[in-house]
Amino acid sequence: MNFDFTILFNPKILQLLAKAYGWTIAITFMALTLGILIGTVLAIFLVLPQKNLINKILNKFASFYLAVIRGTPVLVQLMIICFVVFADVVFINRTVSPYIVATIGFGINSGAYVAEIMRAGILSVEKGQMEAGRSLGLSYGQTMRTIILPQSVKNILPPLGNEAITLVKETSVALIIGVSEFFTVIKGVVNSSYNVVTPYFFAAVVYFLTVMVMTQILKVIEKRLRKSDAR
Amino acid sequence: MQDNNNLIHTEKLCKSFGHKEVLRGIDIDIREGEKVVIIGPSGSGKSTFLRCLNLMEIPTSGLVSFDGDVLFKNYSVFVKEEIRSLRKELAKEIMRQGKIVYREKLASYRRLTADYKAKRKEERSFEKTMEKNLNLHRQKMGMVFQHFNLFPHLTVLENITLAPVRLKLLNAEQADLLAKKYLKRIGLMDKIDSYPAQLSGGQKQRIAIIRALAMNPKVMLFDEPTSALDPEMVGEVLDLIRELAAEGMTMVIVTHEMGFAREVGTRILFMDEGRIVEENTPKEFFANPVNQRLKDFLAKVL
Ligand SMILES: Nc1ncnc2c1ncn2[C@@H]1O[C@H](COP(=O)(O)OP(=O)(O)OP(=O)(O)O)[C@@H](O)[C@H]1O
Ligand SMILES: [Mg+2]
Repeated sequence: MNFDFTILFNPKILQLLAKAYGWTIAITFMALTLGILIGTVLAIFLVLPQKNLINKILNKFASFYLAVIRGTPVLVQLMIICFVVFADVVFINRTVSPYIVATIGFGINSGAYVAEIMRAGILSVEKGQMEAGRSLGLSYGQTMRTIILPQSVKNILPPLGNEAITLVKETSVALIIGVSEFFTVIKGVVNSSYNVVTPYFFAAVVYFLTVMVMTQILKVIEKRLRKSDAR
Repeated sequence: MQDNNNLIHTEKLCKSFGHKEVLRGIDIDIREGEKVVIIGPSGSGKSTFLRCLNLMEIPTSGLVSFDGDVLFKNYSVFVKEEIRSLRKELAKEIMRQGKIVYREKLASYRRLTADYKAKRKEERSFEKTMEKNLNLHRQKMGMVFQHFNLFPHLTVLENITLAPVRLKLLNAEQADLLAKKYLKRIGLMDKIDSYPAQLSGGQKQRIAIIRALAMNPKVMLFDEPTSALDPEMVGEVLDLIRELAAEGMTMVIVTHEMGFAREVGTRILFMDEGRIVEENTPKEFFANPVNQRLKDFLAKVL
């Protein structure tokens, strides 16, 4: 164990690291946004009443999506998306940057987990709420938007925060498709300096602090939600 | 089939959950201004029946119409049953004789199958158009639930105005005015900006009632509106329902409050095992019950 902080704390490396850290946060944020979009749609598919063929097909599709995404490692998904689906545009035409591919990949992955979170959140709203809305003549969609979804938010936000935390750490996987996110630069420092201990420990500390900050933000949001609950 | 004063009309209304038959053929006509009270033992299908009237529960077969429009009809299941039993008979014949001897049976089997297909096709296209109209009809059928079902994330005012404004029956100011008028009437004006969690059970239920009233419904369906209340709050809710009844509102009320039933009802129904087994004016109903199950029931609750 020989720590050598000089290999990290020189301006050039620090600048690289800062930029890469920015990408890590950016990819996390964009992927989560995409995941929430995908997840919301899938969650609605999952809770749709099973009364006609279209609804049943949508439901089956969503279940299949969840099963596939949750049944395979994110690393494998990312490789398939980058080296199979987007291979041409990334490596031959070079019209799509690997950053976009990483965002899409993590978004697709996160969508499945967000869908599960939202489904649980929607189902946690009492059955009588949908009935009350429908009995007043509101349509299914109107009731969902104005009554069910607003109430499910307080059950959805905490696990959604956990998903964001998972995602921040998972983005380190993006190094395999050539994205200069935080961990990719760390790996580069390891390779060039032959010092293993310092960069990896530094990476661990940075991820840990990031997660701590996110946890604190979440706590504040949850507290706010609970306050409005007790009104 | 029905005269103009009939607001609600059902024929052979049946509902099963899986293999469990909950409603077994209910025929009823409810005229405008009537206050029909439904009583019966737990599990007899009272709630299910009420919920079938505004299609919160989709019936299995029969017909439901409201205000002259058919909301639900499905007779093909009866044909399906017939086909099934005929098919069994035919299969038996084939097993025994090696061929079909009863030509007419086969002919009627084919006829029924064709009949079924035609009925089903018609019903499907009907279901599609009904889907949209149903929301319009539900606006005219207020429903009050045992557990109030107020929207906890909205204030009292928002609870009342949400539906009329969303459905463009009223604009925001009109809805606010109407809500205030009703709130004044029930003496809860000071709760206008409160959330449901801050209200007592009796207050919640009265708000739920005026929330339904704000849609200006033609009929109000009450499913045990006082069963979840502490005894001291039952009175204020029954008083409000009584007032509405006196103003001429058509009502269908499921309740265990026998005194209230006798006083407010214009007609009392006794439901047992998914059927209406006795039906009479309040006076006769309680004074001279005929059905043995009803006699036992009344002996228990009175
Ligand atoms: N969604 C459902 N799925 C399955 N079974 C149901 C459903 N709703 C009702 N039932 C069953 O149907 C039967 C009738 O129920 P219903 O609620 O209509 O009775 P009820 O007369 O209102 O009783 P109570 O006085 O207890 O409210 C009960 O046996 C109940 O278990
Ligand atoms: Mg009931």
